[in-house]
Amino acid sequence: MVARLVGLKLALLRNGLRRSPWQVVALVLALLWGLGVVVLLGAGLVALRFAGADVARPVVVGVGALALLGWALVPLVAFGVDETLDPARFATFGVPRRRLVPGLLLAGVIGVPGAVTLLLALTTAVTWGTSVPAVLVALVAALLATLTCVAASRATTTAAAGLLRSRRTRDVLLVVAGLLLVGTGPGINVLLARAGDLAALAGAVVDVVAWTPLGYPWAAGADAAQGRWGTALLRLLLAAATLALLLLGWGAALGVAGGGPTGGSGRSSAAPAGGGRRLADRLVARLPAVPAVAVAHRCLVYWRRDPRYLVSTASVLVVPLLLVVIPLAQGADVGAWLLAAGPAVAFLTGWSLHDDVASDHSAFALHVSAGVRGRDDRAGRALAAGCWQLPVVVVLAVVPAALGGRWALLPAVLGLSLALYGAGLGVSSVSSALAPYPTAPPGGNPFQTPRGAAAATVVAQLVTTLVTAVVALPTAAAAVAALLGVTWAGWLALPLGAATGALAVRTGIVQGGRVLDRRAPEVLAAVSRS
Amino acid sequence: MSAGAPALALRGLTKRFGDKTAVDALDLDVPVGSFYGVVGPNGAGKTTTLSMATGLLRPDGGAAFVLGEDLWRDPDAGKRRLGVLPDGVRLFDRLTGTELVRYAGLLRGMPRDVVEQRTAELLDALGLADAGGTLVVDYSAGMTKKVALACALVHAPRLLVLDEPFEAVDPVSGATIRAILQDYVAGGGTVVLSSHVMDLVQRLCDHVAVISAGRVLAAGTLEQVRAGSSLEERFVDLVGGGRDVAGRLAWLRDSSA
Repeated sequence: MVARLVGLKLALLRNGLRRSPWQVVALVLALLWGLGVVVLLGAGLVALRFAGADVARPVVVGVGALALLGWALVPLVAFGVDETLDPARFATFGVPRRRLVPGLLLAGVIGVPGAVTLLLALTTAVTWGTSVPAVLVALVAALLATLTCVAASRATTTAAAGLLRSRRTRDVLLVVAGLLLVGTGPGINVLLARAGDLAALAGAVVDVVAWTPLGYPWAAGADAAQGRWGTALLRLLLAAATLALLLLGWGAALGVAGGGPTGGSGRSSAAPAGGGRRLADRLVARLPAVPAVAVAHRCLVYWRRDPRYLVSTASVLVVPLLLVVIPLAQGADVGAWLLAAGPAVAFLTGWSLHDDVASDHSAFALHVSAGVRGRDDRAGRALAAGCWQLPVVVVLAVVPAALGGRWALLPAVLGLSLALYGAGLGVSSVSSALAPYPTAPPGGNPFQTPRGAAAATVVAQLVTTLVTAVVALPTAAAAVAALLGVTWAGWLALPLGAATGALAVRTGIVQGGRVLDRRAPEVLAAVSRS
Repeated sequence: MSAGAPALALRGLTKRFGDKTAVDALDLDVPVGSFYGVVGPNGAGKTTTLSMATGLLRPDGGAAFVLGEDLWRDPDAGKRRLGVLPDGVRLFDRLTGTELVRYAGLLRGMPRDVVEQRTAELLDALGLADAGGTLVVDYSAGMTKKVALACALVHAPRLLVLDEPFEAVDPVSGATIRAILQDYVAGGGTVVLSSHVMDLVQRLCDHVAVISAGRVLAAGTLEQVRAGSSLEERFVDLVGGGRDVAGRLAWLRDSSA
């Protein structure tokens, strides 16, 4: 069974490469990246051998624990897990779960992240290899560490997907997971900043971490290198137990989540009608009944009913929080940092439209068969987003300036925010018609990325980000001048930003609409693929 | 619309996926006012053909005319008179049934009061009035088909193209859909539907086309195509591949596992 599942994964990988040259490009890029990481960090691990256990131990245990944490948590908020071997697809074969789990685990190591983790973990044998038994301990610990990483990522995403199948809990959990992840880094920062001696503290923290599931496998090698054999063996046993527990948990979660390939909760839920109508809805309902307004109204409903939209809303609101937490952690002045909230949120939200059509998935066929003009489609989506995003951006630009009494900087900050927001909306209005790529399908596991979408996604996101930045560049120059003390430049940035934003949105809607009119069937085919 | 033009005319429609030709220079004429059934085995190219005939999938070659208008040269004119129920396509299922049908109408630029009235009447006729406030994602398969049909009907099209409208629909809902379609044809509309169920096509349609491997094997009135025998016998004759399985797979009969 194990060999068969690993073979299946390899076969699927091979067939995927045969299907599209982009997948080959993606794999080559990923391999190059992986190679770079392995060489860089691997060299570091070899160097640590000569640095002494006092230095090597905190570094290896600390970084290793963070890597494991990353495996467990990152797929929950970004990238997702590779869905090639989705356990739900085995639902009809009547294979007992416990026979499926080891094979899925090994198949999970196949791939660039798995290979990088495995190679680096094995390299720790060089770091700790003072004697033959120490090398053996380090190798066993490396294997345990790698498998634990993969098992952790599967267990968390499977468990979360199982819980998230009921729509109500979905958004709440997502937001909590996102906040936890985002909060971890700054949280550690706060701890570090409040303590005096950094190295001593790191050592102390690592000593604690080494006795947690995150640290067992990474610390075992260090113990062996320092001749503490009893401790090393104990940690190996604990690491093995952790892996076993994770696999048990994963198997159990599979039972919950593996019920069916689609996300129907089986529960009937009436939509929040009448009473729950929002202000934005009421405003839109007063606008004339043209297709663009209909699209906007529909998008507004999605912004609050679809967990995928809720996630992106939540991630936007995390930014101002970060801007409070980071300076607090560094002991810097919060006020100055907060000034970045408006422009940062403007940049992120304006850009969020770039996968709006992809989120429709094949439901976009309704727009195509109704012959909706591209301009109306673009305008509707931009209108819905602007309805709630523009006020948020303006508030986030004005309030920090008001709090810090930095009224002189307000025109610059507000102008830059408007330019970035408009540029983002405009650019993504064109890019989502020009280079659509599949995202997580509606009702599917929001943590899974469609196969083969990763490379196109990264390229599209990179290009749209760049173009957005270029469009906002003149305003940014004026705004920066104002921040550096040329106060009158702020009064240049405000009208310039407002004009840039408005023009970018207009151009984006017209040009994006033209592209969509020409390519609607192709866009439909591209977003229906997942 | 040029007088006397067929409701739907396909000329040399071709679609290739990689090196596989899914639809191969396919010609078909659907007369105005007909109830036209398109039948074919799995993978015959029915969905691909209907997608190209409705503007959802760009053909590699050929043309599709809706009531005389070239759909791929001037999509707007054709799409205005065309109602589509695609198969295997998602709906905006985070909307309620009422919201979804209303959305389909407003997308077509219809006045709001007309949309509201027709939405209510359609949901009522399809037996979905009570489910109007429920999210479409929580609908059963049959209810989903019915609400999709309502979306295809809301702008009162002259040609209705339905891909597998009876799939996963229970007999009661099926009867409702049949009655609505028959009424629509009686009023001068044209229906093209694809189906696997020969019996249903034989009872419902007055014209039929048999498609296999991306080509039309036979097309015309029901009587012409079935030529005296039942549609199902004729279909198996035309498509071939009906195997005599009696006596084979003996292990299946005395299976004890």
